[in-house]
Amino acid sequence: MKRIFYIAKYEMKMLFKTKEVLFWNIAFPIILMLLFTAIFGGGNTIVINVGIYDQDNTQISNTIIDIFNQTNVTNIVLIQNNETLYQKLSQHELDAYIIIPKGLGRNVTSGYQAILNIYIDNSDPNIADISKGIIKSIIDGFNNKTRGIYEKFIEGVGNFNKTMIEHMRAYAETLKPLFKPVKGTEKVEYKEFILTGIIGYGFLFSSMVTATASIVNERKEGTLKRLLLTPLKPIEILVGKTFSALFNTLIYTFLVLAIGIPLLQPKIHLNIPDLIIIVVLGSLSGIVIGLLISAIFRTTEGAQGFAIIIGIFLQWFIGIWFPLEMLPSYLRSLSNYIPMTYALNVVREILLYGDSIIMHIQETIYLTLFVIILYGIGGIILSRLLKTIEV
Amino acid sequence: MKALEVINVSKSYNGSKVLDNVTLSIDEGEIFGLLGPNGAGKTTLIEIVLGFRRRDSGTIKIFGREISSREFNKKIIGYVPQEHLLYDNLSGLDNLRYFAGLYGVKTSEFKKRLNKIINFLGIDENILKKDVSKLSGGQRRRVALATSLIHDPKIMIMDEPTTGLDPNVRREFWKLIMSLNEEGKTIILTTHYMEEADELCSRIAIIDNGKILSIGTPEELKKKYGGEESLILRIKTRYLDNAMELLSNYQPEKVSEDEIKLSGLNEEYIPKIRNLLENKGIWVDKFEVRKPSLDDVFINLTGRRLISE
Repeated sequence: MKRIFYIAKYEMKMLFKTKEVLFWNIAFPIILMLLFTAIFGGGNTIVINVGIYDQDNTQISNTIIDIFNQTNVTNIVLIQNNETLYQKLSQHELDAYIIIPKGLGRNVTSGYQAILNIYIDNSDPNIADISKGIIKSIIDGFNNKTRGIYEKFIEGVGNFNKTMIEHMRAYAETLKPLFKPVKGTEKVEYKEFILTGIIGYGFLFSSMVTATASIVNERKEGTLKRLLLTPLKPIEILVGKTFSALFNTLIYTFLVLAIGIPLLQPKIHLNIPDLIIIVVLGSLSGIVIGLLISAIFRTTEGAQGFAIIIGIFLQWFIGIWFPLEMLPSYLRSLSNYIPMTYALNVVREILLYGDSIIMHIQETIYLTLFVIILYGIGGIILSRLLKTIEV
Repeated sequence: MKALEVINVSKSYNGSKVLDNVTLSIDEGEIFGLLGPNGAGKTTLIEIVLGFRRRDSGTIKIFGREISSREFNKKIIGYVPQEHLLYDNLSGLDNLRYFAGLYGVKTSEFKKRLNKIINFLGIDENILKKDVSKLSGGQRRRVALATSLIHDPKIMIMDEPTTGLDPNVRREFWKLIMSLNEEGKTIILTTHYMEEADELCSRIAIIDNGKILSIGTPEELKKKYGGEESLILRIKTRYLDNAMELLSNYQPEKVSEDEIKLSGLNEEYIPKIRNLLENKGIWVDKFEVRKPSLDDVFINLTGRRLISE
């Protein structure tokens, strides 16, 4: 019994002397708890980007714009011409757009019901539903107000003839929303969203975590020592490890598609060359982060644990499981700093909407620069580490 | 030609010296042993030569060429570490292929070398097909040795090459080491097995607490520091005290409950001692002439035994 007590006592002592263990056992669950509360807890407002192209430019059309502006769930982008509209649509900057046609104001003041064409970007099924709901409720609110005026008017004045009452009813349902999909944005189902998301998952786990593990396991098993005995240069070890993780991710990606396509039967555009380019960039972004982690941590357990946790964290921020628009704005801005977000976004654009990589040259350049800069930094750090390591 | 020269090399960790001004030189074609207990500094010295650890001071030359703190000629040296340092989830053959590739051995050349090595080391081809994790300790050691030989190095550094092997496998391994030496390779090995050092090494450096205490052939060391030969008598315990009294002129020393040691005597004295005791009805079960060993050398140099199996 006494021996068991001693084992327990000294095991705990050793356990609590290890900082990594303290972090994973205590700090991490707390951080995870806070994170989930932040993401899924109440009080979050989803803001959708609504473009309004006011071709009417009357007092009535301005009133409609004001109503949209007054809500805290829409970010109104005023569109001045067709070119701006197409540009913003092609860049998926708008979740929906409304065209206020010329003559709407005149129709309304003449007592006719006005149809409002609302175009919803269906590329993200969740956001499309949310956008539709938000816009509909705003228009309903507008209509309810006008219905109130109508009812008070009927009560106050009374004795209207039939034609006048019909006129007033039309006024009460002033705006009738007519939802249409934005041209080219086919309805994407969750299975398509998640299939592409799982490819992004590979950037984190098949790339980043694998890259970290490949270095730290070599250290742990002592085989790094054996490698350093060969004429290999540190940079060759790094490049070799990079390729290994990269191939791992490419194999993973094609396995996901090979299994996912027959099982889920998604509507996707298989543009393999462009997909490979963006997967390579996304994977390299993950690998270089993984290699840096392996260089920063002293213990193999610390490095591997950290890489896994970073992977678990980032999966919520790069849009694997749900659209980034569902994140609170302060967390959404964090996503913009993660290169894998861009890579996954382009993967989706290619597979779901048949885009080419040229159409996403900005993201591609950003990813390429990120990879080049971090490999430059990481290469120097890791080469030094491997040269000076006392294995 | 000197294969390796270590000149005034020192190394400290956290203020304590693990190597203190170590100087030694090893001739080409030698089997040179570094003999010392665990923690003596043998592995640190080897790792400094290999470039795994920085030296605080001193010079190292390989075939006359001075090497910097982090450098060594990777193609000249083959290293057999204490741990087998193979990829457990790869087969022995894949490990060999992998390391051959890293050393730049061409495929055609690899096949020739592989055949030569597996014949030389007596490795069954079927064993090479198995994952390293499924091999026995002796088999792993052979595969590890094979990976160290695949680039045909001139110098083989072996760090405790037979630690953990059973005595029979160890003896087989000694034969391999001697064969390698006969092939023209310079062998540097660290060991804490005296018998191993005695059997294999042409010269030995005795190292303790980071200092080289003495260097010489096993015979030179034993002659210089091993002390005298002695005669050991095994007698039944009940006669031991009488025997001690009868042998008092020879300054007997009770070694155990049934053993007496007579220092300075050799086999020539056996008939005389036997007569002396048998005349008084004391029968000697066994006579043994004990020659000075490297253990005696170590005791005389350090005042304590070199612990080994």
